[in-house]
Order: sequence, then structure tokens, then C-alpha cells
Amino acid sequence: MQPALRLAALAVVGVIVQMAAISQIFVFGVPADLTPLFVASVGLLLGSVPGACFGFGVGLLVDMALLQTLGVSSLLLTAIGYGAGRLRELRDPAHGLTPMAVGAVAAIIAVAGYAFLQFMLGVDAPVSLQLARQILITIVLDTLLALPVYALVRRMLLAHLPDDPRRRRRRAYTTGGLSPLSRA
Amino acid sequence: MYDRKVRRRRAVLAALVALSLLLLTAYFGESSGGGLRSVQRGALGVLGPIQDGTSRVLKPFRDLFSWVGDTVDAQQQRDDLVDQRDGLQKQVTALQAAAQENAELKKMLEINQASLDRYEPVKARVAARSPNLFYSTLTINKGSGDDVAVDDPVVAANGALVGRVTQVTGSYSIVTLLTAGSEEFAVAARTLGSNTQGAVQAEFGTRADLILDVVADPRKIKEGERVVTAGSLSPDLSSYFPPNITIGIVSRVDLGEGDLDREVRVKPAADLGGLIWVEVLTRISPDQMQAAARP
Repeated sequence: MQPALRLAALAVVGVIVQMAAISQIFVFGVPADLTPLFVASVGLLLGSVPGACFGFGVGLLVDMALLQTLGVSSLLLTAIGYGAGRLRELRDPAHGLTPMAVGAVAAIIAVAGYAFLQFMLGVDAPVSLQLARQILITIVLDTLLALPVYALVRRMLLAHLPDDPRRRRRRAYTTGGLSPLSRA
Repeated sequence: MYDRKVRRRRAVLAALVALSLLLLTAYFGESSGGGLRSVQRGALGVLGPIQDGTSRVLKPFRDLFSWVGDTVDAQQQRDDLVDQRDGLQKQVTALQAAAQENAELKKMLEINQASLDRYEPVKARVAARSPNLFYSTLTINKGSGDDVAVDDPVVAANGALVGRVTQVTGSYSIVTLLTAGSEEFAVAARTLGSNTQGAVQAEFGTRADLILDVVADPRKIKEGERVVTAGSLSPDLSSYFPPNITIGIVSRVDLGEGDLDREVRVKPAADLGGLIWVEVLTRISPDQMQAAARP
């Protein structure tokens, strides 16, 4: 399957599963939101441009399917996808827990971004302790789910990945180019 | 080569951000029957059956995960129910002693039954819901084809208020929950017992608590009192909701130091997190009522 088609399928399936199942499971009174995690994973695996495009598409789909204000989710998820992609392009992270950290940041951007945009759009919003608690639980839940979501997305896109940093580093060691032993 | 790549990357980002802002502005500027909203309704028409099917297929998995969560919450719920039972026992005693009040409540119940005759309940399944804290909505699998209309009240299986229909397509509808922000949702309500009138609205973004804004002195309101819709039977001053639908139970009364510090919190009677089936109270037209009344 073409990578674009695969990404489109991932977006549609991800959004439908999120809305039909994940959103209806409440942990400590809050459902997990996997959409920023899907987008951040795609950005982290494929780079900033595919990440941003995927984020825009997923956001549009979410707003379409739930009859929400068009453009809000697209704007935020585009930023998340682009940011995750730039991280890959600039820092080339190879640590196994990188997706978890990126997932946490993506969840924070999503929640804070929605809050900010809602305030900007004029929604009457008294800040409460309970809201802060729910935001915190959402971020913790998303952080915990970031690794499995990343593994799932990586598995789906494995054939089309440009070059995984970890694989690249392993290859470099085996070929001797960057091995500390070769310097001795 | 590098420059071209950078320029392309920045151009894509700028185009996507501009497109998002354009959509946002256009959506806000158009009426409820505008082009973008029509496209959205069309998309819901396509995605709705898929969401509905997925929701049914994944129900066992959802139940499994919910069971884990329910088990964690069970102890707290048991303690709450014991407290609630004790409160209700006191309430029953008080109600039995107050014969006059009982008679009035019975009269009100008759009014309630009469007003509910104007509604035809339509059972609907929850097909999807928003994962976002800032959107308290859910999608149900009944639409205008099933006589569901905008502003119809929605109740849970236990008869407690869930919200109202805010958007309708042929086969699907969007229900705004009563926990949506006060901009979207406020219900005229009264307490049973102290008979205090007020308006119930949600604290923005929270799914567990509602706030009862009362005009009168809230000191006579007691924890554990039932809060119901005040409704209106007058055609001049119509309400979205018929009277005496249970909204919730008073969970906390904070009197504070001044008028602005006063806060009466209400716990919704419907389990808004675990809704699978709901009932939409569709309005019966006067012609239909007359036809139903004929022998």
C-alpha cells in the first residue's frame, strides 16, 4: 500500500476507534485522547511535513465527525505533528523513552491549546480545581499510552519509514564507522 | 537543495495553518444552515454508521476496561451510597411527617405526568463521543427521520436528565450534555424539600459536578436534596425541558462569607460517563395528541 494511503487509513481508523470506543472508557472520570499521540508518532517517525499534513487531516476528521468548530483541532494537531517531526529532524532522538516524552508534550499542547482557543473564541470559562485535575489526569493517561501507540503506528508504517534512528545507529556500530573500538 | 527543502517545509506549514484559520473564521461567520455545516452533517451521515458499528463491535473491550475502572471506584461508590441511604431515610421520615407537603408533591407529580404526555420517548444508542474535555457532546444513532428535533430533551435509562439535542441529521444527532459550559447549557431547576428555585449549570470542562445558582437564601438547602427541572407549562415562557425530570442530588452547600462565595454543588443523577442507551423526548404535535386521545 502507498504510504499516503496507509496514513489515510491510519487516520480514519484511529479517529473512529477513538470516538466509538476509547472516548467512552473513563479512567478517574476522564477518557484518554489518543489523537495527539497518533499525530506525534507519525511526526516522530516520518518527519515534519508528513506529521503536519497528517495532523491537519486527523483534526479535520475529528471536527467533521463530531460537528465541532471546524479548524480548531486541525490547527492544534498540525502544530503537534510539525513539532514532533522537527524534533526528529533536528535532534534525531534514539532513546527508547522519547515517544513517551513527546506524547506527554503533545498531550499538554493539545489540552492547553484547546483551552486557549476556547477562551479566545469567547467560551465562558471559570478556571476550577477540578478542571485542572482532569487536565492533569488526561496528560498522565496520554503519557502512559504514548509508547504503545507509537509502537502500533511504527508497526503500521514500518515498510515506509525513511530511516529509524535506532536502526541507523545499530548499523553504524556494526559497520565500524562510529564504533568506539574503531578509534582504538 | 537544502534551501528548497526548508522553503517547502515552511510553505506547507504556513498553508496548513492558514487553511485552519480560514476554516475557523468561516465556520464562525456562517449561519447554522451554512455550507460548512452542511458538509459536516454530510460527513456525519457517512461516518455515523461506521462509528455505530465500531461502537457495537468494540463494546466487549470497552466493558472490560470499564470494569477495571468500576472496580477501582466501587469502594468509594459503596461509601457514598451508604451516606445517601442514611440521608434518604431521614428524608422519608420528614416526608411522612409533612402530610401537607406530601399532598402538594402529589399534585406536582400529576402535573409532571400531564406534561410528559406531550413527549414521545425515542430510544437511541450512543455511537460516539468527543474525547475532548472542552466539548461535552455525544453522537446518537437517531435523527430527524425518527422525529428527533433540535432542543429535544434527552434522558438516561433511569429517567435522569442527560442534555438536549443541539444538531440533527437524517439518521444521527448531536447531544450536548448538561455538563457543557454555561454558555451552552443552563437548566431552570428547583430542589425537592426546600423548594428553592435556581438555574443549574456546569463548571466549564468538568464532567462530574454541576452548580445550582439560586436567587433565594441557600441556607435552607440541605445536602442530599433532589434537584429537578423547574420546566414551564406556559406556551409564552417555554422551557426546553418538562418539569420534574431529575437532574441530580445536592452534594455540597458552601455558604462562604458573602453572596458571591455561596455555592451549591449538584452531582448529576445520570452516569454521563457510562451512557450506552438514552431516550430522546420528542415533542408530539397537537394533531398527534388529539389523534391519540380519540377512542
